[in-house]
Amino acid sequence: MKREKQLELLSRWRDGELPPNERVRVEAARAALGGEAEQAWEALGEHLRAQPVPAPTPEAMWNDVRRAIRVAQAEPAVAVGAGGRWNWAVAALAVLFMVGVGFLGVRIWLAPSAEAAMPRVAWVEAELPGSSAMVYEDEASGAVVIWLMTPDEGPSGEEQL
Amino acid sequence: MSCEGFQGLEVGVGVNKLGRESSNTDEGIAPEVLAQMVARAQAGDEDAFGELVKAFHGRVFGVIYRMVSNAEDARELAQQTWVKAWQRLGTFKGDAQFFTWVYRIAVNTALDQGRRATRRREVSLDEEPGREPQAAVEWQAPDEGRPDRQLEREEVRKAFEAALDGLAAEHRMALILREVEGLSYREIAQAMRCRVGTVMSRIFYARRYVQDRMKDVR
Repeated sequence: MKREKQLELLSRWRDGELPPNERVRVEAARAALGGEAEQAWEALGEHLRAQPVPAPTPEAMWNDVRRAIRVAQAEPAVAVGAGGRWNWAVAALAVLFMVGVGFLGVRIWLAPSAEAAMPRVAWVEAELPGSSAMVYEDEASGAVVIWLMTPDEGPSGEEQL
Repeated sequence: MSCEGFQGLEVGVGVNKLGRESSNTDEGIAPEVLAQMVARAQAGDEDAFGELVKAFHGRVFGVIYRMVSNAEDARELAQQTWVKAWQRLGTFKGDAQFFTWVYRIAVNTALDQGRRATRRREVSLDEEPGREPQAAVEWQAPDEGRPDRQLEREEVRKAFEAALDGLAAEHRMALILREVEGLSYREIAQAMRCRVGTVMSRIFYARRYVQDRMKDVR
């Protein structure tokens, strides 16, 4: 950890970013750090500075920039004008669509289905072999009807609850 | 590392440890001439703006190119930088040097691209394990007369490029601004809109990272 701190100070010293008192301290400690880091950092700097930069000519760059400025100047006017109308139209249509869908959804949800209008019938297992029972709700009277059917004997008929 | 709000540029010219003059200057153009050019450009004079582009294009392109290592991308980003500068000319108040102002736009344009490239590279490396990053630009090292020496130099150059490719955009930019452009930490902080302490740690981290990656090369 101490070595890392010293190297950090060395990095700042190399860049001329240390106050005088710390500068003296780092210069005294340089030998102990071995010079490995300094050599590596110097090589790195040399590599970066030696990298050739294939810059286009100033005239070529200005031609590019001028063209791009023209395009940028033309684009916002078209985009804002047409875009503004389009956005309003899309927004209005979207709102109308959403309202319509919501309205339809509510109607479908609230409306009694054809299935629901029919008496709800449930078949149940009967205790007696060969017999069966039918339970349904009478829409007209609101009564629940239990209909029992037996093959020969036992309770038979219609009983209203 | 947090980047904080920026209180406006202060112009300073200093000499660093490497003996390079801080590059925060306006390309040797007389201040009054430059001020006139800027004023004309702000009034909508495209030719005046063209003179500014031609004067500062080299350094704007250089810093962007070193970030992206690709000539076509650098050209595109340099173009974007100048278009942004043209669109924002009205916000330039003359309290900073013109180049410093353009420089900041260039740095941030390159940083944005660098972040995107880093993300793309991460995805690409995830898809292709074991792939080594390739140097984007081929260049010829000075001929020292010995093929084996040239080969060795080429190996070192590729290793440097691979190591630099592994750096985050912010670390790489701070390193370039320091090592190539010779900016002080304060100037780098202003260009990158962050604290001086952040710049210091970014540069140190970048150096240690590259040093670590290079230790087996030589």
